[in-house]
Amino acid sequence: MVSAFQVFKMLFGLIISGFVLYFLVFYAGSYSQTQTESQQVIILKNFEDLAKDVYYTGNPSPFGDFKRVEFSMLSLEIREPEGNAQVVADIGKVTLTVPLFFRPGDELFIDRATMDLGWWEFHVAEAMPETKVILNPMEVGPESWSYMKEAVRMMPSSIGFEPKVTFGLCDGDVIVEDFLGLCGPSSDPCEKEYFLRISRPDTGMSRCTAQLPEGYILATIARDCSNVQSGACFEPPSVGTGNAHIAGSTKTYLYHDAMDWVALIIGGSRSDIYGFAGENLWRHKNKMFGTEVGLAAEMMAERARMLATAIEDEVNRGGLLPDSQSADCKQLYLDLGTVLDVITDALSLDDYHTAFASVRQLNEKLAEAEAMHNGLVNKGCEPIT
Amino acid sequence: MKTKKLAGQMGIMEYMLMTVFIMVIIVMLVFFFSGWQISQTQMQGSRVKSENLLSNLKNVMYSPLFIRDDSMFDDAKLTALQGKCEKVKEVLGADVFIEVKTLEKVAEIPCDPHRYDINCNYWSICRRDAPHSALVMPVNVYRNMGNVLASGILGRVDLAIVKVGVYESQ
Repeated sequence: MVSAFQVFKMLFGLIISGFVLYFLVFYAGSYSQTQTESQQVIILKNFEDLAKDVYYTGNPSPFGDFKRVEFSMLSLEIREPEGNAQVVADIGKVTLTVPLFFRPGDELFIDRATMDLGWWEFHVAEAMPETKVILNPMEVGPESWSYMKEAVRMMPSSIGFEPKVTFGLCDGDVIVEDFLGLCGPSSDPCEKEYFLRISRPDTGMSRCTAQLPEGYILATIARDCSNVQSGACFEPPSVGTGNAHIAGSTKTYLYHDAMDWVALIIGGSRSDIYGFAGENLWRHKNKMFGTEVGLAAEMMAERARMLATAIEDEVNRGGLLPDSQSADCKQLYLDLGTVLDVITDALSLDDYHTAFASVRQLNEKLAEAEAMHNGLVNKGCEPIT
Repeated sequence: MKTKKLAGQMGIMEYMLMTVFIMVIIVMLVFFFSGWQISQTQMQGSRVKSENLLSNLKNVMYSPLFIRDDSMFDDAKLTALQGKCEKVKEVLGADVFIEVKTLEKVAEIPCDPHRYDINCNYWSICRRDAPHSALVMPVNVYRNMGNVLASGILGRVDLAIVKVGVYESQ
């Protein structure tokens, strides 16, 4: 016969163990979720720090943390109106203050691309997973070929690193990834430095019809971009500018330097809730270029004028001979300041990168400023430290 | 019969006491884990804050906006940037400020943002009187017109201290 006390003991044991079990399960569940989220935050923060380090120092580095925790979402959003890049993951967003060309992947290789304007260097951090960039130059005029080579020069150089970013050509249904020993002894896929050794062919290649597996991105250079199957397509440039297209998009994107090509190639025709990645990177690059180079031009113009005035003051004071080489720097600084003012004005317009006339004028003035800066360096006004 | 009833009551009392103990232990565990979690979060917060400061310092030391070469600031660039706080914020991020002072003179002579002056020795960008955290670092400043000779101008490198800080959010 079971006594009332024994029944009480059984019920009591059941209630207590149920309570303890519930507490443990609930706490363990919420603890593991918190840990996953905090790990995701740490990974995003690490990525931001590394991208900034690579951007500022120019030292490339692999980044494998995204494979440590599963991210159901990893994408790049461009914050308007500033144009900053935001890496978006399940847990939230990380906004970067530096320009970033990002292609999602578990393991990334981060490098820096540089556009040398003489008086200024514009850098972009590039984060890419294992990628084969397949170029399809149907048009091989000297300007198109040099644009293509310049764009490849600005892509990541992964020699000695994993994952790899390699290059190949597509001619019809054939993909060529090694070029008769040009890409090293073991006929590996061509890394950037090896690919840049390839000479310009006499005739253009046929439209690429090869099926490109995952991890391949296609860039076509053609007069007619209407039937591009994937990736970005570039019409031949005319006086340094031209039109580009993205497969699947009806829009036309104006390019005015090789970095525009790089943005469109790395983004390509991938699309997500934020739109076409190629279009987003192209917009991001031009916004960041406008902000950074605009400020740099304004600051360098003021610097040039201040130094010109200081030189003039020294000549007037009698400290510096009027016919000395340093006195000649005054006019060069003033001329540079004037051209940089025009660049500042051009870049201050939000849509400077969408009109042929404005980007052509900008390119002309950028070339003029570069030549003037070289003149200052050659004359010894801007000593190289 | 009475003894049996008493033993039963004693048993129930024991179980009640045990329950109280278990409850106390569980509550203590909850408090302990919560406290531990809060202290971890606070530690992480202060670590993120100092990492952020370090990252800002690194950005300034490498940014071509301020420097001529690695860790060598350009005095004319610093002078030109003094009046462009809003635009500097767009590039470096809001709430960041920069101060540079050369060490050759003890007295602080602020530089005029519109005029190059070789005799000034203190530049401040986005500096205002507000609570902040900052890091300091010895650096070089390239003085573009460091030595003016009759035959030409030579640059000069001065030792300086850079202070890069972030204002505390209100």
